[in-house]
Amino acid sequence: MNSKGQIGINETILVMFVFFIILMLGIVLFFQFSINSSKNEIEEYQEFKFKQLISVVPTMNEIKYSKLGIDDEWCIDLLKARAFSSISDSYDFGRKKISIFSSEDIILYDKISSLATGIRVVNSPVCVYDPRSEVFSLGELEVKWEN
Amino acid sequence: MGKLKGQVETMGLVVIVILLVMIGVIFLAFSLKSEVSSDDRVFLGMKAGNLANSLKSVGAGALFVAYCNGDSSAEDSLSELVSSGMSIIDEDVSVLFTCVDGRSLNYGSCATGITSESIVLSSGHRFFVRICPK
Repeated sequence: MNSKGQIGINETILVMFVFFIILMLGIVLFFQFSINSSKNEIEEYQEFKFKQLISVVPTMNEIKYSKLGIDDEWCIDLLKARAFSSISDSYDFGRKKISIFSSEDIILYDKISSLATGIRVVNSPVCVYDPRSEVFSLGELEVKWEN
Repeated sequence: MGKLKGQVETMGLVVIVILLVMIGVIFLAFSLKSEVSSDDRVFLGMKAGNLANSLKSVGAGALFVAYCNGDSSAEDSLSELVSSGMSIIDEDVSVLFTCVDGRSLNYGSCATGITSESIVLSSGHRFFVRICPK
């Protein structure tokens, strides 16, 4: 009888042991999954912020076209853009390069290292205004991201 | 012995049901996943909006108003301007102009995609840009 009870206890211990191993495995996998999911979300958010720059940059007051304080045209002023490019080091868009290609190519912001390997690029058409000739023309806004 | 056999068969059935449920959940997860993510839709929407606003600012709106008012020579200039704008975008793009009287001009081959807001010109003529995801 005594030996039957001992067998029962051993069986219970074995079951508990297996149960806890499975539990530990489950917890480890769950946290692994949670961490990966969070990392993915952070990456997606950063990518969205990067892509969003094609909408943010042309509407920045620093480079946006306006006449007598009225910004009724959705354009980038070339002279403002050129002035901005000389002070853009004090801005922080992260490891990115923002350029405008039109009659005059301007690098608005450049904080990409020369050794960068993984670079992502998005571009968008923008309206560019040249105050010297008072001409509106189509240009291209290009944003590069070192990730 | 017969009771034990019955229990084993029940366990087998339970395992099969669990497997079927797991396969169903995985299938559901994949089928619910959209081809184009919402972030990509927003991005393409911004791009379409950029092109529409740029076209308006560089004079496409004025050219289209002239076309709607009967100036047929405006169509060639408009076509050239729109083509140069469309060439900047990597995806398939369409630009659709509609006069108040119903006449329309359609550039590009994108049929279903993400559209910009409709830009209403003087006299109610309007146009919008549509981008098809790659």
